[in-house]
Amino acid sequence: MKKVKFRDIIGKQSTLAILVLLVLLLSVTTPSFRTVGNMVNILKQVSMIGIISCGMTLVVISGCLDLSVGSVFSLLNVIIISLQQRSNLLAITVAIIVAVLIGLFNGGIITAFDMNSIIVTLGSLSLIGGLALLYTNGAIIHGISDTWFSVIGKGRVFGIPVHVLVFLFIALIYQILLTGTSFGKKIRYVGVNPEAARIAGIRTGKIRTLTFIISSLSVAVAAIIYSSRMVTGSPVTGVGYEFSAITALVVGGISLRGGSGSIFGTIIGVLILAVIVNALTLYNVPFSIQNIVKGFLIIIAIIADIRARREIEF
Amino acid sequence: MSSEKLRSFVIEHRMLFIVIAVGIVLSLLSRHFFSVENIVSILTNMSVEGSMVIGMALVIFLGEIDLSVGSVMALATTLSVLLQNYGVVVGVFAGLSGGLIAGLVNGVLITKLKLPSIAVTLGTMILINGVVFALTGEHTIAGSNSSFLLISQTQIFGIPLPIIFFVVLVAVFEVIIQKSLFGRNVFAVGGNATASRLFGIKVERVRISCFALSGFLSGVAGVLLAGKINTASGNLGGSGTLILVITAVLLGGISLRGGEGSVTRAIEGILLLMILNNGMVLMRISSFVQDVIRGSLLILVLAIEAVNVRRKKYL
Amino acid sequence: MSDTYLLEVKNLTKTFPGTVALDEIDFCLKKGEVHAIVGENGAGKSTLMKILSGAYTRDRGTILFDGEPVDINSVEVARNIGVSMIYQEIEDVPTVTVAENIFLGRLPKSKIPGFLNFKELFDATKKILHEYNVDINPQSKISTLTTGERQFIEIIRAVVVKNAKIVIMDEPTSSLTKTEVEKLFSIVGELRKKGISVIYISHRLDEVMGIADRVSVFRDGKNRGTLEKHELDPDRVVSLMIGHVLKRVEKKSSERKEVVFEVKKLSVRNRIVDFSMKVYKGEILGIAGLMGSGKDELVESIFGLWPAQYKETYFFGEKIFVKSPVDALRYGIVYLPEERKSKALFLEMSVNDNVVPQWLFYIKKSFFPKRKNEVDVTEYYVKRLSIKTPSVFTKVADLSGGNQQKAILSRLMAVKPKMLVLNDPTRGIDVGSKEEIYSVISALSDEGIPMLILSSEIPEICKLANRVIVLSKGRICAEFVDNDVTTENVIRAAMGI
Repeated sequence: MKKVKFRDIIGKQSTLAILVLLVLLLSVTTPSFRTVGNMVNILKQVSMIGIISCGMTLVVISGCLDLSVGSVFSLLNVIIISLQQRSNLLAITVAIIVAVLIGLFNGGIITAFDMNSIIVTLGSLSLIGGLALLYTNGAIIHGISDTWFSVIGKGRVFGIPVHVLVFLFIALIYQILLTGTSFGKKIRYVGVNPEAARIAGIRTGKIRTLTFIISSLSVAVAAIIYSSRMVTGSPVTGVGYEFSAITALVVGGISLRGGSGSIFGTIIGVLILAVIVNALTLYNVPFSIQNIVKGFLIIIAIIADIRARREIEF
Repeated sequence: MSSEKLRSFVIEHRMLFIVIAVGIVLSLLSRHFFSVENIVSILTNMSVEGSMVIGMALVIFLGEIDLSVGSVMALATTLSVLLQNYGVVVGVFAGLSGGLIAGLVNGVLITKLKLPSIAVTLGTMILINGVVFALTGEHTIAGSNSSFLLISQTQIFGIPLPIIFFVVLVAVFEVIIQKSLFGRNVFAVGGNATASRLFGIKVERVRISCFALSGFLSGVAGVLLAGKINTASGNLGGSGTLILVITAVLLGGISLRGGEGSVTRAIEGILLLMILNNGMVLMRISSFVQDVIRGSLLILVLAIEAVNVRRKKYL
Repeated sequence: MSDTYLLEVKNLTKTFPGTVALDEIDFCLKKGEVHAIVGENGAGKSTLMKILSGAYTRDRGTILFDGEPVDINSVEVARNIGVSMIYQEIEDVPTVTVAENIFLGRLPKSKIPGFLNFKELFDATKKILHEYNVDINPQSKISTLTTGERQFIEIIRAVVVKNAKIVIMDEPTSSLTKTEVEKLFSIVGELRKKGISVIYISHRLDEVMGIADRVSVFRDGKNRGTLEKHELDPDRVVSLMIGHVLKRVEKKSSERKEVVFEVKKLSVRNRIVDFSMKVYKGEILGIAGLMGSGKDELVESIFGLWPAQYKETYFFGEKIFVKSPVDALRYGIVYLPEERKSKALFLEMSVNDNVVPQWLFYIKKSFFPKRKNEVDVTEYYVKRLSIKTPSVFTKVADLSGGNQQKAILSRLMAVKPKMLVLNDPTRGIDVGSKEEIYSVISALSDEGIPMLILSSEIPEICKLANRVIVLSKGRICAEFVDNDVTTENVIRAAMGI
């Protein structure tokens, strides 16, 4: 009774195929696309959103959504820049602690009261965004460059930017976490059927809270990179990041309902998004249209996902 | 009124009493609170957010949610600002149509494709926000037709037009929801869609209508906003607006699961929030703190609802 | 003959993959009579009712309504004929008023287009409720009514608004208080007076005897006999239900010396009252709980999935606290829930993934479980339990019900449990797989693992268990040990005889 779908045949590779097609198409039609400089540019854009999306992936696989990542990014950014003047190490440590606390808060409340993660993290978005604004009183603050801290954002190892390496490293770790550890597997079980997971002895609350903590920690890493590169802190830097991350996931084939997806898919999604944005920029399409594109992509991807899912429940 | 009916009235409209209590506290804390200009200002602002609250309440009665209300409002404001060169009427019409069409798109996607409303309206929220950015070219644009401001400035018997219009709107929708066939169908579908379908209620039609109305009402909000500030930008209708609207409905004691509630209760919720907003402004509490408070309030109200739901489950 | 019967079912057959639900069954219903149907779970009662109400279609056979053959192939057709079924899961709108529920979809319009005439609505409702002697305010919200009252509204709606000529009630009294049961009977009496026929399915023979004009006994998809009111004799009914006297299988009586698991004074609001039980080493304890007994809430409250007002649990004499299934698992107590699709299976995952989860955490040793070990475990159980699957990586949703259940059993067995709790272990499973699961259960018991099996299928419980507690309306109403564990005894106890 199993319907054979296009997706079954190609499997995860379908999103990869789309990426490859896109790159090929653009390389052929747009000369400025296929320069090495442009490719490097794309990779540079990818690392921060990529790290955040990887963290978000774990949350989504467990069946939730974290809309607060953008505000958390802003908050951590300003905290890091402000503390950097005292000590780089202090800045990083505090950022990590705050990230863990936020993840604990989000995950704890959602699981303790069995609440809708979209609306709750919408509240967090406002709350934490407000905290960021309060912290700097709405102002943009500047940090200190030329310390070891800037290596993170601006340094290179064998010609490859450090932050790209960090992104790849994190992606690798998360993928191993997801497929190779029992924690990672539990995340998937919780996403597929939280009630059955509970009966089977998995602590669903704990697992979900941990994914929220990992999500916030990922944001912390991204914020560290950003602070290191731009050496400025703004309480609204992260606005809209959550939607970019969700778009990347959805385009990469991760189902918003949970239970399926991989970091590999997220990376493809991030790359596809980056390529599309890059192409639009090269064609001088205004930035605002990009949001429209994002919105379209989300809707199309949701439709495709729900269609695919429907075959499973008969 | 018998004591039984009185008691149930008080419980159902408890928010109104909280509003009065908060109002009294604020008037003690700040001399400016109870002034005519202030009250008028609160009520005029409320006509904007309140229109969206009516739409959101409708959709929530249905058991669904519409996350795109803020974006649709911004769209309507933008259309009004852009097209007011052709006349105030054209501007108004453009804003209202934009809202209606957006609502219809939501409704069709949700019913015909059988998609969850939370996911779809998340997508349209982003999409329409992008459209607004595109239309405004990422700037804040000002309307060129100053007569458009008459919408907010015209007064009838000393009361600004938006307030009168809003009161009429609330009354009309409350009557529709409580007394008309359509309204009762909305509650029926929200309470039990399967049973409703079994008994011949056209569930799809009810759903599309509600989302269309929500879009239209967001359009009304957008036009009223344009009538007040006559500028448009992509920053309008952001998450702050959405949180305000959802919190208002929840504060009105309306369950997110649908099937029950009243428009007036939702309006009591937004009234409370607007008064709190106003109070915070008067007391010079920064808008940043307001964001924190708003977000915390939403989470708090959600937690209370979640506890209620759990309690009922094990009865 | 045909013209005295309102409804006649002749030679009707319905099969599902793996089972014959109805086997050339005959049934006839007179106009204005209350006709009760009794029978074991799986006897075919529900299936026939679903066919009559249009939810299922028959494979073969005839249905005559008022002497004319009809083809009931949809719910609409059934409704047009006048057949109305009242399910256990009441399909009403809890958030609106009684009146709006009764007239759902048919609200009286007022002269103003699009608006309703509320006065007419409430007056009409009041009048109807008065006719049936039901004292409910038409303006109350349904959610404020008790289950019993909601059922009355369902019945009234069916009869008055849908013009039902035949009303089918499936276990209507399972959630009712005594007074409500009496009220239900008076409503049924009203229906009879109006010439409406009632098909009344119940396992409570005491109630049935009070209300029915005729009683039909179903067993194994056939109608074993229809008794007139004056012929109603409990023994006769029971013997028709059981059929031939089952040869007494010698039950190995267990020693009952060591108490493995004990529950004391368990109370769950509105469901369970002061329940206590012990499970001894080496025994299979069965809890027979039919609809309305509270067996699901009982087992869920033991595992912390349903809040209990009071609960004391002991494991090997030591007091333990079970707030969630994880706690129980730590002691080695595993649980097989009754609805595998929603509560046990991870449908889109593979067989391997479904067998593995409990094992995963229980081993606890490694944060990185090695893939090879998991697959070995799964393959071992696929062989041992004869799970029919193309491979261990097949999606478990593609397996048949019986094989799915075996996969979950493998999961439970893989952790080497100290006690198994199984809730309706063979629900929705074909006969062949049922037998296989029974032998697995017996084999496990032979190994000395104590088991608690809850079921609504009485022959199953009697076959497996060497001690049976009968649960009725949240209380223990009988207990049978060793050779007294017979289908007859248990059925009588469950039927209130």
